[in-house]
Amino acid sequence: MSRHILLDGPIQCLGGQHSPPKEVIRIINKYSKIKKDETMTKKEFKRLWNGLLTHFNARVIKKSDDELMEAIASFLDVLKIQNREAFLNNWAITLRHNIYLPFTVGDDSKITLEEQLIVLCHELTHVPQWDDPLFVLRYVSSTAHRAEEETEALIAGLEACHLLIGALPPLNEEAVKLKAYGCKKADIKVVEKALTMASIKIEKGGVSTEAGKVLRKLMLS
Amino acid sequence: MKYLILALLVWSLVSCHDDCDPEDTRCSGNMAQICASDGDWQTVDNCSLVEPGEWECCEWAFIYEDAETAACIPLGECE
Repeated sequence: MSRHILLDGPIQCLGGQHSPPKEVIRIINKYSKIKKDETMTKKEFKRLWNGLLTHFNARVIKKSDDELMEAIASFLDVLKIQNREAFLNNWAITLRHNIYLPFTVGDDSKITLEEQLIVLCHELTHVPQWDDPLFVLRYVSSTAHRAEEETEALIAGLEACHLLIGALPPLNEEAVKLKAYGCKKADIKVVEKALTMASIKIEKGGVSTEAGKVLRKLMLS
Repeated sequence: MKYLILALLVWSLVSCHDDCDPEDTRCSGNMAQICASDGDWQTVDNCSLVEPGEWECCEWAFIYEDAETAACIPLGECE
C-alpha cells in the first residue's frame, strides 16, 4: 500500500498543441496576470486548495511529521525496497481521506504552487477510489487494474495542469512513472495511449474527473 | 471449503473480462474505452460526464500509431 500513490518530483507542464477554447483562455489569462503581478499566489492558492479539500472531505498531512509514514519509511529502508529519505521526500500517498505529502503546503521554494495543486488533484482522485470495497484487492492483485486506478489520477493531474498552466506535460513521461508502481511495460503502453485519449478532450477544454471539475469551478468563481 | 468458494468468487469478480487486444480502443455507449494489458476493456472517459457543454465519444477522434483512436470530443465534431 505504501506505493499506492506517487508523484516523483514536480510535474512540468510543457507546450500544448492546440489552442484552448475561450473559457480556458479566460482562466489562463486570469492566472498569468496574477502570476506576473506576483499577487496570485498565496491567497488564491489557499482558496483553491481549501476548496478542493473541503469538497473531497480530505485532509493533508506532511509525511515527515507523521509517525505512520516514519515507520513505513524505516520498514522499506530495512527491506532495501526504498531509501528512507527518498520515500519521505519524493512520494505522495493517499490512505482513505488522508493525503500524505512530501512538501510543505504553500511553500513554493521547492515546488511551485501550481504544481502543488496538480499533485493535490492527483491524490484527491484516489480518495473516492478507497470507497470501493474491492479497490485494495484490485489494486494489489492486478497491475492492469493498478494502472487503471492510477490513470484516472494522472488524468486529473493533466486536467489541473491544463487549467492552471495552459499546457500538458509529455504524456510518455507521465505514463512511465507507473514503473515505480510495479506496472509492466504492457500496462505503461496502455496508460500512455489512455492519457493521449484523455488529452484530446483536455486540449479542447474538457474536464471529466471530479477533481478537475471542482478546480475548474473554483477557478471560475 | 467455504473459504475456497469465497476465494473463487472473488477471483472470478477480479479476473472476468471480455477478451480484447491490448491498446485497442472503442466507444461503448458514450464512453471512450481502451483494452488493458489483461484483455479487459477499461473506461478512460465517460463523455456524458465531460464539462463544460455536451460531448460525444468518437471512434476516429485522432490517429495514434497509424490507427484510428477513440476519444471524447465536443458534440457535432465527429465526422
